[in-house]
Amino acid sequence: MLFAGSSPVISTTSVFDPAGGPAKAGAGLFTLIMVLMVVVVLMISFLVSWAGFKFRDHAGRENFEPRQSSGNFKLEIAWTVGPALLLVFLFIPTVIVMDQADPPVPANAQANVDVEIIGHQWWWEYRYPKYGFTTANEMYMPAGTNFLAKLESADVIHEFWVPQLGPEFQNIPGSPVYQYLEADKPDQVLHGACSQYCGTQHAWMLISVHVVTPDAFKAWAASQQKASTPPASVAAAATTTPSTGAATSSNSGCSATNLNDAVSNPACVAAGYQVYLNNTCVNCHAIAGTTSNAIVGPNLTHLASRQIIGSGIRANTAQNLAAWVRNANDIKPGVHMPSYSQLSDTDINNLVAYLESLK
Amino acid sequence: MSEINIPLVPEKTKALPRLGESEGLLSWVASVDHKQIGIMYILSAVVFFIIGGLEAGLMRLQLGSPENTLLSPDLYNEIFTMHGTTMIFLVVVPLLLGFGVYFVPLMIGARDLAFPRLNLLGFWVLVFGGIMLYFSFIAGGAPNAGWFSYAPLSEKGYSTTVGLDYWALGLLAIGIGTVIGGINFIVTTLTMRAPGMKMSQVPMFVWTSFINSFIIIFALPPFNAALVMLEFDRLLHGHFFTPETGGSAVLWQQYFWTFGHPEVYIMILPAWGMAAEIIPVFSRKPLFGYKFFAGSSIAIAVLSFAVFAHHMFAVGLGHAFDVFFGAATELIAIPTGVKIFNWIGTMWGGKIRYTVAMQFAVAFIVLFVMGGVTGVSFAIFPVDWDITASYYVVAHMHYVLFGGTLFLILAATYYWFPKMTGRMLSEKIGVWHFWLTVVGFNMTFLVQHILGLVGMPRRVYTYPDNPGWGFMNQISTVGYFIIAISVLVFLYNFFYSLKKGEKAPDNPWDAWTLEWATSSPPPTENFYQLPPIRSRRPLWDYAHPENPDWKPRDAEHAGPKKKQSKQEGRTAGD
Repeated sequence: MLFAGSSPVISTTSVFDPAGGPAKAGAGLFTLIMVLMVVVVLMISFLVSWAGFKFRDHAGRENFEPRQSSGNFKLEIAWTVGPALLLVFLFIPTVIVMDQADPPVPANAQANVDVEIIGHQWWWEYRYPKYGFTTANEMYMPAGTNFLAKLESADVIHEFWVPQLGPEFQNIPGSPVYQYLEADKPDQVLHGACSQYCGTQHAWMLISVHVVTPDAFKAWAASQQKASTPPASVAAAATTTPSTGAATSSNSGCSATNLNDAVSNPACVAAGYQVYLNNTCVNCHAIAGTTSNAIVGPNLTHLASRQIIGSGIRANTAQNLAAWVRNANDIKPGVHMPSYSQLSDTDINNLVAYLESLK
Repeated sequence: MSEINIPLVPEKTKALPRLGESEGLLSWVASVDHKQIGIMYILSAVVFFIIGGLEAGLMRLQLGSPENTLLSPDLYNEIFTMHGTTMIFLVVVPLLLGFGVYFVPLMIGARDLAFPRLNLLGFWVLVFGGIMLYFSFIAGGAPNAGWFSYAPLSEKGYSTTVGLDYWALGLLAIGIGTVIGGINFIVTTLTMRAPGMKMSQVPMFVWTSFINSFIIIFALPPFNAALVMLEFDRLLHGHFFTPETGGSAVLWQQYFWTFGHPEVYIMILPAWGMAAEIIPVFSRKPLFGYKFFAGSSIAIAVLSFAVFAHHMFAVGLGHAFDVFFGAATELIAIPTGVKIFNWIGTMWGGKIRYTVAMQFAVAFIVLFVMGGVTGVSFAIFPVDWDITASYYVVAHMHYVLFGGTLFLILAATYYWFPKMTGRMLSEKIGVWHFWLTVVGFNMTFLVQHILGLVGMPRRVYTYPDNPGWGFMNQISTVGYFIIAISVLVFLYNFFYSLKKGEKAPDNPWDAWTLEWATSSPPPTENFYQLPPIRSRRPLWDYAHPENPDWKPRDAEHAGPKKKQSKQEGRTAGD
């Protein structure tokens, strides 16, 4: 079923709803500029309307010959110098806000990075070097701190745009950009999107930044650092060799006939783990604690802790995940993940049960 | 005072040849007459405008509701790429070149351009490039990396179809055609002015086309070079722009915008010259501040090469870099502002006739200022950092290119159609055309400023159902259909008037530049005879021997005025 379900609705993400210092500085300057812009447009509109009305040709003016004036030197100077002064004046807040909106990073920025934001076609990878783990599509940051981000790309140019965090910079392969991210209030999710056209699914590289208290952040990081524990009953050997790519689960003890039953059944979760290991999932994905450590696709170690899948195209529910696994291209055409419709419904249910256990 | 009736053109003993008469279509294909080539430029641009407009329609239909499934992402991406590429390279620039090719020789009293055969070559190379670009649709896929094709997305690894090769090669051809036009205008303006016409006396449209040509010959070559480098990468395993093999993605942006920014001035400078012809004629006064206007055009041409990296504020090249380009971008706003004041100063104290041409020109002033102020907001680069790749930019560019250039091209069409075809466009239908365009245009693009401010990125084939986004996009889509109707109304006016329009005299608007000193349409050799040229308005001088422009104006002949001004001692030739 094409496009079954829909993406989660998020709240408005306005440039004028800044979440922290840098964004506030930019929004303040933007407000000033907007006011000036409106004043200029109104002024010109007024002048044009006034001149256009007052000096229009109408009955009674047939014999009027306008004065063939060719210019007025003083006026020309005035309206050249006047705007020039205004623009020079505007340059002062520009330079001041420049350092507030984009605080300079130290020379040893590389060693102090809090989060590496790596753009991929068409998802976001988040690496936390100070904690040594990688996650995808949902970023966490502590409120009230200068969080140093390093923007990079694994393929083409992307752009990390979260309007409430202020400036957006490009993620350019080979040319990292450092940026301080700051949000004052905890317990909010800031939303954004990739804003530099990056190919087929540029539209669905949504960004969600969870701003939490510093303590909550530490707790989250600690939980992300933990590798997963492979499910208990892995003893039974797979019934077919992995190379056929159609290995089924050993089914020992898993009698669920539908997805919901499978999800809560530990035997099905174990069976699903086998499906994961014995198919090509491991060619692209990594789950810490298993033998899979590929970095082509999103890291799945704590997939079940995320609210969205497909970089924001669907909510993270078992149904949506099953549809995604069955054929990601039905939901997000062009995505690099292949279809797994050759797997039986049971295998997919069990696989999803395993994935939804990865909290 | 209505039309001047001066026998500049001797009594006709035989009917003047109509364009295209008796020699058929082939005579057009190989004609080196600048008037025919000018018309061909304009007609080909109209065809591409319709195609580009249909592409826009598909885009707006797809974006009319959230998560719409009308177009697949791949098809949408091809269409938005082709929409931008078409409108810029195959519509706006050819329209400005076409009017220039037609009118620059006439306005300087010349027989043709300096290089008539080169002129024809330029036109056909442009058409060839356009056909090659569109051929891509059936040759494996249209280009789909956006009209500025950033690397490495444009490289073979990520854009696997031949679309981008057609893009690069098609644009190379079109770029060559454009440079040809530029060379022709420069040489013509410098060497073929009628005797007595000084450079400070050429009509402003000629000045702006002339200065524009310098921008063209300096801006297109870097682009052509970059296209060749891209093809080296794509077809010959080069590494200019591939970071993973030692190249630089940023380098593509540098090359592209070195061309891309001057290109936007190429797309408006001659149009400003058109406004400088139309507004004076319908205000019944000379252009206010000719010298400042010309000087500001030169300043813009020079500065346009110094501001290009304002398209790269989000690349993180360092605050020093941003400060330089931000300051330069603010600077370039000043000569542009001077022009706005000059147009208003022209209207001031005049006797304004609201022909459809004048309606479009006056509306242009307001719409262009709206586009201009959002442009200045980008110069304040911390603001740029907030919204640089959002729908706010899409709104800005359409206000300056559509509300700006296209409105003036429409004004010029109503102004010069009589001269080119010998018939008047219907003013009645024109008023409908005007209002539909104003309403449709603003409805489509005003709301896009807000969409950008609330977080909608550009170049997306769809968007999530965020509060208000669907509604605003719907408004924009409805606006598109109003524009579409306005285009149909215009086309009706165009074809109806060609057949049945009121016959046009030599000088239906009582204008003053040399193109009006000959028949409508002009004979093949343009002029049988020229009036004496001692100022910027030869026909005014001819009709007002008691108050010509080249004589210092004093209180007696200056027309009703309350008090003497210091202008008295200066001639109007300044």
